[in-house]
Amino acid sequence: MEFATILGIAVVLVTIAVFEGRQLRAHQRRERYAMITLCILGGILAAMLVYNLEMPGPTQFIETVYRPLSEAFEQWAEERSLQP
Amino acid sequence: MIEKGKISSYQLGKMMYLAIIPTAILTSPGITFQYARQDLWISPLWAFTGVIVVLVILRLHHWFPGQSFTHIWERVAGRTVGRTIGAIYWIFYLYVNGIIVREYGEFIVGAFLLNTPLIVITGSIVLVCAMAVRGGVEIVGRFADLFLPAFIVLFLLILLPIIPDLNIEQMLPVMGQGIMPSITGSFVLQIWFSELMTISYLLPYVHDHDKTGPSIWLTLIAIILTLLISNLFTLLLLGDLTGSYTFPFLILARYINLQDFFTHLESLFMAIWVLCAFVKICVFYYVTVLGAAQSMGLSDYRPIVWPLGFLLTVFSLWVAPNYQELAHAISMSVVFAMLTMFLVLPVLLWFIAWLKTSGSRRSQRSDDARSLRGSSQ
Repeated sequence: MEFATILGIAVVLVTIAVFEGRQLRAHQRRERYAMITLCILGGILAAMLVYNLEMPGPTQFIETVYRPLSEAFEQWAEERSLQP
Repeated sequence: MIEKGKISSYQLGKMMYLAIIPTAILTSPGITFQYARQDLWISPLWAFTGVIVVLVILRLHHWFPGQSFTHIWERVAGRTVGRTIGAIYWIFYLYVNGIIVREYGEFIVGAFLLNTPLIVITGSIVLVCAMAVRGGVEIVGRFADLFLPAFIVLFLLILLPIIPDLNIEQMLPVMGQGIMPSITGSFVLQIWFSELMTISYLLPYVHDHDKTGPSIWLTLIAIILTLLISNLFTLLLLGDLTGSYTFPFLILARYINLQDFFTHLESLFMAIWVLCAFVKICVFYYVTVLGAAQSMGLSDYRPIVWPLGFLLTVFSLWVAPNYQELAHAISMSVVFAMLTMFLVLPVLLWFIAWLKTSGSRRSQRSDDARSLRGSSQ
């Protein structure tokens, strides 16, 4: 099952890369590299998610960074709501 | 310039209106109610961030006409810093758009298409949006033109039939605990007002600059009014129950029953939601693609539309394992992240640019003075 999903992801990405690569002109090397890098990044990320959907993501990162701020705000809002 | 298309100021305004309203109508009454209670309809009036962001962005655009946000950073803080910040911005836009796509998918799956896998719904909207984005900013602008009248008609069709059932006593006492609960409640709403920062990426493609200011301010006022009306109607119909629903406005649409004949009008809301979410995802997707192309120094943004669309679909799954965790993050830490990116950094950029321009103006003035003195001698 997982193998089939990864095969599907690969097919989609190869289709995108071939379709876009054929429309680029020969001198647009920077665009070609950018496009292929983004495809590979997307493929790696998708394959990792296939095996572990609970993988820590950007939301966890943002929560860690802003934890002090959000805790302070929650406490402040709670104190306010306790007033009659 | 990467993009050759042009849009009008009013198209920009319509795009931003449709890019902010849909998710705001959907989730804001529930989240605002937690803090503001019966004052939740006052909260949209505290649009501090919207006003600050619009002032700052219009000012920046006045100083650097025809430059997008990434380019202004490059001009002000140097090439390396500018490109790094540009890269952080497009990755953040990708993340935010991932949240939007996920919200769209969760709403459709949770309310209408109960048995469809989430990935089918998110994948198909990203597919459609990728086609529109590949067409350029003009296409997205025309979609906004096309969908705004439909949105207004459908919105009124939901609001008008429930007017007889509204209970005006639900909103009493108005400001019973003073002004603070409504301001606390507006905290989460600041996300949507700060999203107006997106105009910074689109302003270089506007062809009638004299109308930009009025049209953006009109957009902000329209957003505030729409949120005020939708929050007020939700409150007057549902009262204390508002906070217990994830999507209170959907309940409003379900409630409509005219003579046992017009029922199940939530399909209207679904129509609104799909149309507006399409424009919203397109605008954010377009800005992601444009920002990525600019910060990587590409000559054309079209080759990276599809790869970024694939990344967007992956991000929509990656943002959170389930909707509850996502909703909690949206109401707390994501607000701070968005305020940092969409409010603090633009204000910082404005401040640095102001220091630099006023510095250069001062030195220019002293040069003038010196030359004047020189000529008089």
